[in-house]
Amino acid sequence: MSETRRVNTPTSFWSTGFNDWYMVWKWRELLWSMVIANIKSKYKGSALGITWALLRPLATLLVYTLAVGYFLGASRQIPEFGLFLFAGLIAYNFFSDAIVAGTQAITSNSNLVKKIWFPREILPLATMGVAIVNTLFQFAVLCLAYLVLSDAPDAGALPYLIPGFLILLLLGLAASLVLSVVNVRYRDTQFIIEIVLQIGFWLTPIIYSWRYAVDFFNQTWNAQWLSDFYVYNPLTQAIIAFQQALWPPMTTAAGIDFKLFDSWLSASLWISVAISVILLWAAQRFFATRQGALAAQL
Amino acid sequence: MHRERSLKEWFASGMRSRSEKFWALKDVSFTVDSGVTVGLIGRNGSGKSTLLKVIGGILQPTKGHVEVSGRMAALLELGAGFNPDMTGRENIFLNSAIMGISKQRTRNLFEEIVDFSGIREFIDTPVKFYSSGMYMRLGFSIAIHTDPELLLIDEVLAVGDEEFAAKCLRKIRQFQSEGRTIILVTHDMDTVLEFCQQAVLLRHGELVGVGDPREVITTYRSTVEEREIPLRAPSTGPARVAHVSWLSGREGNWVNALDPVGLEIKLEGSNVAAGVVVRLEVWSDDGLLLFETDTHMHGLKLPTFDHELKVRFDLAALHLGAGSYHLSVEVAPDPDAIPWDRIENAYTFIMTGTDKGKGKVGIRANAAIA
Repeated sequence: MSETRRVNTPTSFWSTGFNDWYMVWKWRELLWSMVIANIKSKYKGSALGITWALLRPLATLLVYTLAVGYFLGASRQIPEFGLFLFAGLIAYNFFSDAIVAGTQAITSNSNLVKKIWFPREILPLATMGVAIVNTLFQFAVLCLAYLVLSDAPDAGALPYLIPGFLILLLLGLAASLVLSVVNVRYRDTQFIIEIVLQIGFWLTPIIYSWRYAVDFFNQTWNAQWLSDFYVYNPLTQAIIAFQQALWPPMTTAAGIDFKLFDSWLSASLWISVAISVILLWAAQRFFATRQGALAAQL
Repeated sequence: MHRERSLKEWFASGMRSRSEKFWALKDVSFTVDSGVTVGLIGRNGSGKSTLLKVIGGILQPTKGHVEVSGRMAALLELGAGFNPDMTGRENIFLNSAIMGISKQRTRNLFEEIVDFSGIREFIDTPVKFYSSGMYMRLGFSIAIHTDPELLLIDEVLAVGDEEFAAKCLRKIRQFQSEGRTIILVTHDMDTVLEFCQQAVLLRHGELVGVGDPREVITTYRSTVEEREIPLRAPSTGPARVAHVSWLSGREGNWVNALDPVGLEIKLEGSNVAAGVVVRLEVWSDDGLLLFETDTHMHGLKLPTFDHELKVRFDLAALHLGAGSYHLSVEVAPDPDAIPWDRIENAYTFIMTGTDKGKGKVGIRANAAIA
């Protein structure tokens, strides 16, 4: 007879969580299957299929460029405004798509959770996977825009995407892990989070430069701490990293005012990554202590 | 267990934690040897399915733990986790992945799964177009092919049409002969008697009996009887059935298929005219009248009586298969009249079946080289 093992025992918050991540690794095939199944069933039966994943960001890009760039005149201060906007938008859409879907990751799979055991972390991870795939489509639209405008960022700037993407991935996962569990007991969470993400869109430097906000906090409100918080919170850091990587004028003289980091190895970026890692650890521990009760609560 | 709440309720209750708690399972402790088939029995709400979910790791116990060895598969709901938009083929891979089977192994098992399910021609059709029978066939086929050493089954022992159900039962038999462990939840005592070497009885989340299925079922029956008090309306005539007693052929609640049975029915009444008819009926668990006899059929004319009269029925062996049955008794003024008094479920008893046979009837059989 083989070794006995304990089934789904309660765990303490204070643990590395290594075992849980190992289980996720062992079930990685399910993760891929779920991501693929999700994307397949989302576009199945529609005539344009996966093309819709391209059309939505394209429409956003065009309408924002027109309304904010030209009508509101943002393009007078920010050259290549459409690309500037899209760089931030890719980052923020990725983050918000991941969290909106992640919040509902468990409630929308209640039938699975109630009937079959598997590492529950797979569910928010799968929604994150779907968000990554959608983001790749947005990158395709961006490349298309580069071609049309015959302008492209400096290849040397692309490594900024590494910390930028890492921050969003880790933060998004951390938020999904916590919110997916909270949403099981308080279904209001999914609605609250949509409002919060909408507010977040305007409070992060996506359709304007971070410098405007910093100047306002420093000069009008005279609140240095607020401008520091604004710039150094991981979300803003990630968005600026995306802009430094993807907005072509950044490496020219015109971009000097929009620059925050001197290098993609900039300390503040990697401190943000480190903070995100710690948050993800804490989120996973929260998840691990709660996941056992999920099937009873759904 | 927690009741689901919305934020509104949370605010309304003044932010006090107001979840109502009770123990769904308490002090349930038992061991199952490998290779044994165990039946979990108990009334609705006694915690059987909860226990199965705890064993399966789907629910985490607040206290205590479950230890298992070997690969486990839970058949709590067939086809749970199917994606309706995906084809049968795609769902085989998805469902196997959910149960932790690698893509490579699923590929190797694929033909076998499809063959067993018997729905090869629809394997590339989205499962939302499947009939419920096809859905369950595929679900059962996948689960059974994941090669579990411990199989947890919740009332889904046999699914689909007769042919497929028989196939399922054969597969279960094969599992047993291969020394795999099965834990099944069921309300069907025949299944427990037929398949299980061990039974576990739960009542209100507590362990009431564990061990030999016959003994445990007897305990279960005796608790069920507390609830199923014989149904009766007040007598509409001068006589009523006062008591039914077994004179012979019974051990506890157990009756042997081949033993003769003697029953005595006591009537009470005052100045009852001669010629009343006493009727005895044997019913199966699922509501089938198996046998009925009355004093009129036997040409027995009951005398006039005051106070009480006892009537005795002697039945040669009942020849019924293993399972649970009950007796109903009535008294009527004449053979065709509406009875004055009737006791529904006057007695519940369990037939042991014959030890050298099984099925709906119990027949003494012999086998020899001819």
